[in-house]
Amino acid sequence: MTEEFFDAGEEAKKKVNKRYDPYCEKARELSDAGKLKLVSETVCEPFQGAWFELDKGQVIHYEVLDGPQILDTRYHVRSRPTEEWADPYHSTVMGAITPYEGMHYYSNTPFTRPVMSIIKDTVDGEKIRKKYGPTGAHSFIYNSGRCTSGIYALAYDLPNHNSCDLNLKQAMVAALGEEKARVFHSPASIMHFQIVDFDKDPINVTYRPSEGLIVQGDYVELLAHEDVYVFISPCPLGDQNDTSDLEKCVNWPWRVAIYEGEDGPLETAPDPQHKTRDPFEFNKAGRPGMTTGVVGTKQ
Amino acid sequence: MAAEEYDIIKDAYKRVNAPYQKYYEQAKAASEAGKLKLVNEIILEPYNGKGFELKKGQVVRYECIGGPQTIDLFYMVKSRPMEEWADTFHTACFGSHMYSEGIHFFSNSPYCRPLLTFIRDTVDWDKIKELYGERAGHNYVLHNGACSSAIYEEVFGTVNSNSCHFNIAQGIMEIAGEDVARRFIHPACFMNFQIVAFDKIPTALTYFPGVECMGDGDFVEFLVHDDLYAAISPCPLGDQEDMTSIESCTCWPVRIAIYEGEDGPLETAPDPQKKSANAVDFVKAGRPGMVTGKVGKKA
Repeated sequence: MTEEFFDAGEEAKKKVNKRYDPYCEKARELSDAGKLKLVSETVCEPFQGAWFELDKGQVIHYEVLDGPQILDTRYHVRSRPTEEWADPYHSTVMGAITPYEGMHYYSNTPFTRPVMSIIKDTVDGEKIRKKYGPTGAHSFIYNSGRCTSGIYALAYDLPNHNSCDLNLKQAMVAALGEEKARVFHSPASIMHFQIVDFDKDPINVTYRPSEGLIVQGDYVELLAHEDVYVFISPCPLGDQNDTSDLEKCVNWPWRVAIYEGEDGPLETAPDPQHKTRDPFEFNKAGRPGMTTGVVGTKQ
Repeated sequence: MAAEEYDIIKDAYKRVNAPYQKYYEQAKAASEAGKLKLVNEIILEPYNGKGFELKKGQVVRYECIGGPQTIDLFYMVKSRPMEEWADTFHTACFGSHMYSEGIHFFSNSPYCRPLLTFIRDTVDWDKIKELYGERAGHNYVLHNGACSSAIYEEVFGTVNSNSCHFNIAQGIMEIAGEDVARRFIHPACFMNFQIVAFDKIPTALTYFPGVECMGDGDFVEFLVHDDLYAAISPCPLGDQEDMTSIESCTCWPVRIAIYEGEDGPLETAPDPQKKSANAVDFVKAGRPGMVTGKVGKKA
């Protein structure tokens, strides 16, 4: 690699994220100082999808109760839930496959704005990396990721096993109705409390036991930059301590708490109001004024 | 077996892929022996998406012309394009984020069967690893991945920049119509000829220049296991030699060649006929007979 190498991904992260970092940092300070006011709290049960309405400027807090429970999460903008949501692709490109404190979840094109930001994570990341290497983490995003009943059927010959796909659809049907839920055939989610590392060659994930790494009271907190629906699935892999047989996976209840500032909603990131158009309409219009690079000339 | 010794992904990988190995070997052998007959060829021009059909038992080849051109691909089953497609989640679970010869592209839940098998790749992987490290390659999947115009607007300030999202929508609209195209709001694509490494901590991608590793005549080939619609986008990042702005990226044409065996279609993988239900239908039916693990008890 030459010294002049331009790291497009890294430059993009630097340039874009700094616009929104201050909102995340302020929310973090308030959380650390105990200056958030509890609005509601719910204890959720294993094998059931859950959903919440989270308002702009509120903070959602996912907490481990008696044992670590993997959570798959999704966030859809309430005013247009089938058009805009926290998009794993944009979030990964601007952050990482393993989300971290300070990372923003960007919405899909053409909106591409921060919908959520991770403000706090009490799980001991250093301990995870010490045990499983530098790629070890407990929050991660996978390709179109959430486990499905289809994959359990293929790998374990168990039809209709509980899955995050199933639980997320359950929550989406309840919140949005069947027609809108069917739009999301592959809801791609963002996971927490699931110990992984990316140690395989070719690159792939290894799922690790959580014992001793995620403890009672651990939590992750996120600031909402817009009114959103939150859809959550407790993954049937549970605490992942024994995945040798799906029926041995132990699952636990978990707590969801919603907070806001002492005087109301916290300050949130502004909508950049992008001018890029919906791809279908733009293609139909003949792609007027489309920007491109240059075409190579064969030597 | 101790819980810590059990690797669910590694075990599933072995168990699931084994029955399909022979179709890979047979098709690769036929290709290497020059026993494939050209059926059709298409030249893909820069900045334009394309849609085309593939038949069960055919082999599709993507070939660089003049210089390396990143391509993004999305495949749908022709008989039910709204319902079944090559799914990056199942594919990565049973393969890798960075795919190579022998990996199958599995369809989504509840079908979860091989739709394509990667049979040949002439790109010099040793050279890629020598230049960019052990975690580098050129075929990969990223979370719901396909570059979008809004992300270019966020990063570079260019409105309505050419993007894979625009081009894939154009390709799907061409081959399957607007309703199908709108079904896939942000299709999760499979990339070829794009040098990346999963080398950042926290785990994230670096995009590297392509010219030193790939060039005129390099190709990848896939065996097709069912009648498919394919949509392809030449990524506007082109050969990734200069990504300082969208306008500085150099793009190249790509040859798409479709083959079959000397005596007709090649042998393909059987449909495993999974019994798991569509998730929304299953939720509506009250999730009858759903299999689960167990719920933890507080000590």
